[in-house]
Amino acid sequence: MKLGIMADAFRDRSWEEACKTAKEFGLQAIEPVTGGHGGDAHCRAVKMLKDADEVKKFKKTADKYGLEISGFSCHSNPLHPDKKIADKYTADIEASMIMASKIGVPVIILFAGLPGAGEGALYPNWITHPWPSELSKAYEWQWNNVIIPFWIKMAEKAKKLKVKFGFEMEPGDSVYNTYTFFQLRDAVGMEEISCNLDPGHLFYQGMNIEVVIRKLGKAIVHTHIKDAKVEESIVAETGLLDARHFREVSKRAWNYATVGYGHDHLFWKKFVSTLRLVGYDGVLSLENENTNVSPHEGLVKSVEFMKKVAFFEEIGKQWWEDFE
Amino acid sequence: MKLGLFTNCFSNKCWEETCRLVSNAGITGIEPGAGGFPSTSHCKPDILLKDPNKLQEFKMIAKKYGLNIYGFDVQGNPLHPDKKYAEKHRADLVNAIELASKVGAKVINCFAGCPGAAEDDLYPNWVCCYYPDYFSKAAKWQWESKIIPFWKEMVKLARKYKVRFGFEMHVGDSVYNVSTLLKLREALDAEEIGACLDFGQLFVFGMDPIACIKELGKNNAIFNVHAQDTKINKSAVALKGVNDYEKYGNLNDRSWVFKLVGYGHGAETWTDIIDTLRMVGYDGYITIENLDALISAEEGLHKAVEFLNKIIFHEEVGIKRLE
Repeated sequence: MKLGIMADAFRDRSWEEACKTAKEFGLQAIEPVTGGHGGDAHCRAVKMLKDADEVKKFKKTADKYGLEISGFSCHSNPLHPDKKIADKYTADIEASMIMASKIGVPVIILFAGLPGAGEGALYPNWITHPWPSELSKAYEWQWNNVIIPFWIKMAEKAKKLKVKFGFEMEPGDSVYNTYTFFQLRDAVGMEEISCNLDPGHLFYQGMNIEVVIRKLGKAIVHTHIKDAKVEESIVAETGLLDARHFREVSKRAWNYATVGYGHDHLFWKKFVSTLRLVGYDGVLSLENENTNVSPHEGLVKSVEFMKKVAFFEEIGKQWWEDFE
Repeated sequence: MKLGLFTNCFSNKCWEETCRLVSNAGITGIEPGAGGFPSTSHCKPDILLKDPNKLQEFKMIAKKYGLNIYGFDVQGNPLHPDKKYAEKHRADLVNAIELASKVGAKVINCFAGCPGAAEDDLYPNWVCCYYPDYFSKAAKWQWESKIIPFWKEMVKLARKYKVRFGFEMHVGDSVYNVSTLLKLREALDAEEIGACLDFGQLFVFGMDPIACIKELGKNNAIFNVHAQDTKINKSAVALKGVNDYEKYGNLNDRSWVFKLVGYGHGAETWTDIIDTLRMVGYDGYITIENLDALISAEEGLHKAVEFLNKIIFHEEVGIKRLE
């Protein structure tokens, strides 16, 4: 395993400075944002692609600091019912794919996108419940008419370019749990539809992360290390769904947390162990979203925490393997 | 406390037959569906309000079987972006309010409604997460431009007819938990806004019924109770979470299913619920709702009555020994 970081944490500095800082923290990988909702801080693939030298230089800078580029982060809504918005985000994803294939980045980390509720809809519409029946109709329309056809086309392009999609299951997106993830993967029927596992979005939906990892198995191609703290005393009264602003920390049923401050060492030890068990030995990419801690201290504490928890050496051969 | 039945499980039977079955089960309260999503097979408010003879007949049948009509169920979407749809559900709500005043029913069980994401939207848009920002923008618009103004008008009507609204806090509705319910109540500063506390809905999202009763009780905001249960399928939740789109019919795969009272949570949970309800001052009807796919309507009613009769308090407290 390698410890990496989503480069959004360093949006206040240049790519070179970001790589330098990552190295100083003892990290081995970096995940730049190349489009979508994220900032333009280090690279917007649609622009950078216009200059082949820039692309090479971008990769060289990471190499210089001994960093693997584990994936390109490109979270957005390519299925937004506003065609202009959707086209812009789709272009971001396609440019990220081309750029990834040029410099050997294996994964584009993204959302599946969220369409409207039917033909003529103007706004994205997240459907999590089959009743009243107009919701079932809308859900089927979203999947059959928009989500599946779009990702079949994209998966074919990805296959040609030899990159995979790491879908980050998150509330507010069509793919928000294992069921909806496999619904997409099975409908497309291609391994290019894979998963970026970010447990930070799963705790507050009540999922058990070990069960999720075992179910996803080989479909995991990248991970984000993000914690969340579920506030039991508030959940008791208001439930797990919370649409209040992230600023209303003390009122919310859950908040993102510095790794280790939502779930302790034992949880994360089981997390990395179960990942190894299903064959994932890749990059653990820190996503630095803190609530009660400054971004800098959050990062210091996260790195320290994960260095203790993650496995960095190859497993190799165990002494008991030769037993009869 | 008394037991009653929400009649939706008998929607294939006429009003008289339903009253007979309810009376046979040994209970004294009845809560007919009266529009919105619930069937109007027992009670059509628009017709009853126009025809005094039919209204008299409707009341007499309940009386004949010793039943008190204490509420109506009109859970609908009066804020649907489709104006026709919204108008139909709004009219159902308004008719039920007027009818309630004519039969002496005190509570209108309802949903707040779910608007679109903006004025020109075509579809209801349930916002239950904050990010990306098109969700938070939509929620702000929904509350300020649709939900609060609509219920402001409805509260005026409720005051005129002396009824109160019991919101069900249902998945897919703008009022889906204690904080959204109290948000509406506080925004309107209206004592008419309270809960039809349906435990089946609360279990789904990890809420604790006792905490909810206490918080709502503090605000005198419990107007009705639906004794509906939910069974949580832990192995499915572990994988899919509690937001489950799976069709209601796929019982085996769903993260949660609605159950008859006692078939999702045992007597201990329900005893605590009933006890806490009395503690916060609720001593009204406990309404049986049977959406359980595995039990017939009639057997469900009998089993629920048997279960709850052992638990609810039938007598007044009387002398308070601790005073």
